[in-house]
Amino acid sequence: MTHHSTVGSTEKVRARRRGSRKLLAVAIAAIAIAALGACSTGGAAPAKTVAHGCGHGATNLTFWGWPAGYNLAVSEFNKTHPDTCVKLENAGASTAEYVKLSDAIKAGSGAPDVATIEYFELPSFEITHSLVDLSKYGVSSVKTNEAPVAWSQVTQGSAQYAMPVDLGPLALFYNAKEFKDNGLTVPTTWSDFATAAATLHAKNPKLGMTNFDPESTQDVLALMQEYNAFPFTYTGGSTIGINFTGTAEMAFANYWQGLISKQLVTTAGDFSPQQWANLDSGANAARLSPAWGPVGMQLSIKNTIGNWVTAQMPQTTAGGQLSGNWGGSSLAVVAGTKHAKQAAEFVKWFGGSADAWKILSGPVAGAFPAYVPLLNDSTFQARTLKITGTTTPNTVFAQAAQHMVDPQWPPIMTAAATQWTSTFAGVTKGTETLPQAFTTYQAQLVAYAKAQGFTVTTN
Amino acid sequence: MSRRAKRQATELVPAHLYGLRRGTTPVLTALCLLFAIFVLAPLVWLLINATKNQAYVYGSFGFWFAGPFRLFQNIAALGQDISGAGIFVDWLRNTLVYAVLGAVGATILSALAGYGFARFRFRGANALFFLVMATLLVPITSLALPLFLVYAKVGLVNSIWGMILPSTVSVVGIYLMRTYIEASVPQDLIEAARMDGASELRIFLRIAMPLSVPGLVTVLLITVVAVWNNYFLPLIIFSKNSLYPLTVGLSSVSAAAESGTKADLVPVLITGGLVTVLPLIALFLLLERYFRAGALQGSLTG
Repeated sequence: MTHHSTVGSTEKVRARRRGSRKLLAVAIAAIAIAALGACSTGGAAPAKTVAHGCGHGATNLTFWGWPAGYNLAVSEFNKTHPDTCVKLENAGASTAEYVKLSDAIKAGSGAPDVATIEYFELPSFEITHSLVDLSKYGVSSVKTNEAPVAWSQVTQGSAQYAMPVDLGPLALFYNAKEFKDNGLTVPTTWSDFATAAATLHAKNPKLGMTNFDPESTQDVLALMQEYNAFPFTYTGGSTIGINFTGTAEMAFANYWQGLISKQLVTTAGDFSPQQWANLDSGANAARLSPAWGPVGMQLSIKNTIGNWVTAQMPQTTAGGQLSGNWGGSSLAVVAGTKHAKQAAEFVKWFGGSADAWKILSGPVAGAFPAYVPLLNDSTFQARTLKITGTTTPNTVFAQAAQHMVDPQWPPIMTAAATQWTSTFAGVTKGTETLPQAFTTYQAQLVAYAKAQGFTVTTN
Repeated sequence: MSRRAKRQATELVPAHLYGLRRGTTPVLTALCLLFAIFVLAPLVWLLINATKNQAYVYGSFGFWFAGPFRLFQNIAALGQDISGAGIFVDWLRNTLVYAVLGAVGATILSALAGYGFARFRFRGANALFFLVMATLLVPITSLALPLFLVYAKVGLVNSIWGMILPSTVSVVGIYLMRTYIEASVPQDLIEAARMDGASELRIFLRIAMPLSVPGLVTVLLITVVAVWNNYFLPLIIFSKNSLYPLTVGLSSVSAAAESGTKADLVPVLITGGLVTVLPLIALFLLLERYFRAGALQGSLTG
C-alpha cells in the first residue's frame, strides 16, 4: 500500500492542492453559515415563547402543550392576568411529551409547571405522584361545568389530578347522498348497521359501510366504550382489572370480525391517505367519527363536500343513547412546581372559562369542549362546516358528550398501546381474527401488569 | 479521431472481455434502472405533491399535478407557525448549525484519532481501538434515560451544545480515517519529515492532512448526513420547539396533521420534506468526486 501512494505524479499533487483549496472554501462557507445561524438562534429564541403582557415581577409558569391554537389562549390569559406569565412550549405531541415529562420528573429538573396530558395517560402519572391534587386549590368548584365523562377521568375519589379541556365523543358521520342513492336509512342499532352494510355491499361490492382500524388503540377502545364493553377497571392503587375476553368484549370482537370477513368494512389506517380517499370516493359511506373528526376531515376531501350528515352512534340496544370518547386532553399541574397556586388558577381558567373557550373552540384551535356552558350554547350547536352542508354536527356531538360511559384507564396505557399495535397488526393483514387478537392481548397485558407488580383481576 | 471519441473507444470495453455473457448488460442496465426508479420515485412524488392542497394530495394520482397550484403558498407556510408545532425555517437553521458544527468537529476529531491509531505505536493501541469500535454495538435507545439524566445534571438539556458535542464523535469516522491514513500517508514520509526536524503538529497538518483530503471529505459528508438525520438525540434533549432540528420538527408537524386541525398541514409537511432533502443532494453533488475517491480507498485497504 505504501508502494501505491508514493508514486504520486506532479499532476496528482496539483489535483490534491486544488482539492484542499476547494475544501477550505467549503469549510469557510460552512463556518460562515454556522456563525450566521448561531447569531440568529441566540437572537430569535426568546421571542418564540408566548409572553405577551408579562410585566416585571410576574410569576413565570412553563406550560407544555401541543394542540393548535393553545398559544392564542395563553396570550389571552397573560393579557388578562398580569401577575402570572405563562410560557407555552411544545415538547412534542402525546407519547413524545409523556416520555420527556417522566424523564424530567425522574431527573428532578426541567419539568414544566403545567402539562397537557390526555385522559388515558393521567393514571400513569398519578401513580408516580407526579401530579398536584387540584382539589386543594379550589379548582373542584368547576365540576358542575364539566361533562361527567371528563370529570370522572380527571378525578380519583376526592382528588382532582387535572383540569379537563376538550373531549371527543363519537357520532355516526355519514354520506347522505350515498345513503339516499342506495336506499339506506340511518341505522340506529348495530344490527341495523350490519344490515345496511350488507345491503350496500350487495348493490356494489366496491362499497363498504365504514372503516375499522384494528391497530388504532384509542379508536377501538372508544368503540368498545360505546358498545358497553370497555375492558379496563381501575380506581387508583395497585389493582387493575383487564378483561378483553368477557361476554360483551367478545361480542364486540365477533361483531366487527363479521363485518371485516364479509368485506363490509375496510381496515385502512386511521388518518391514512387511503382512509380519506375511501371517504371521498364512496368506498366508505360513513365514518364513526369523534367530535374533532369533521374539522380535520374538511380539508382532506373534495368530491363529497356538503354530503356529510351527523347522527347518533348505532346502539347495542334500541333506544339507547350511549357514546364513547376518543381523544381530548386535560391540563395537569406537575408535582415539584414552586407555583402550584398560580398554576391551578391558570388551568382552571384554561379549561373552564368562557374567555378561554371563545379561543379554543375558534377557527384555529377547533377543540370540542368538555365545558358544559359551551356544549349547551345554541350558537355553538348551530355551527355548520362546508362538508356538512346545512346540517349541524355539534348538535349531535354535544348530545353525545352528555351520554358517555366513564372509562377507567389503567396506569399502564403507554405499554398497552405499544403492545396493541403489534398484536393487532395481524387482524389488518387477515392472518388472525379480532377475537383471537383479543385473547392474545389479554394474556400479554395481564402478564405485563403482573410483572410490573400490579394485582390483576380479569372479570 | 477526436480526443473525445478516442477516449470513449478506449473506455467502452466489450462486455464479453469481462466474461459476461451476451445479454447480461441489458439485464443489468434494466435492474439498475429499476433501482434508480425505486430511489427517485419518492423524490418525484414529493416534488409533485408539494404543489397541491390537502384534498388533492389524498384524492388525486400521486405522480401527476392536480388541483390549484399551491407550491408558493406551501413554501410560504414554512416560515409560519401554522400548526402550533413551531416554524420550519427555525428548524432548518438549527439543523444547519448542528450539522455544520457537529460534522466539522467530528472530522477534526476523527482525523486526529485516526492518525494516532494509524501512525503511532503505543501501549494499548489495539485495545483502545477495539473499545472505540465496540461502542458501535451499544443500541442508542438503551442509553436514552441515563443520557437524559446525565444531561440534566450538567445542564445540557435544551442547550444546542447537548446536540453538537455528541455529534463531534464519529466512530465510523475514526475507523475511516485510520484506514485512509494507513493507505495514503506513508510511514517513510513521516520518518523523513522527523529527520528534517519537523514538529509532530507540523507533520500532521502539512503532510498527513493534505494527503488525506478525500478521506476527510468522506468523513465530513457521512457525519453531516448522520447529524442531519439524527432524530433520537434531539427528541430526548429538546423540549422547546425553537431548538428542534428538522427531523423532530417535521415529525411534530406530522403528529399535528394526523389529529386534524383546520390548517392545511399535509402539503406543508410534504413541502418541508422536499426542502429538507435538497441541501443534502446539493452537498453530495458538490463533493461527490472526493467522496468516491475516499470511499474507494477505504474499500481497497480496509
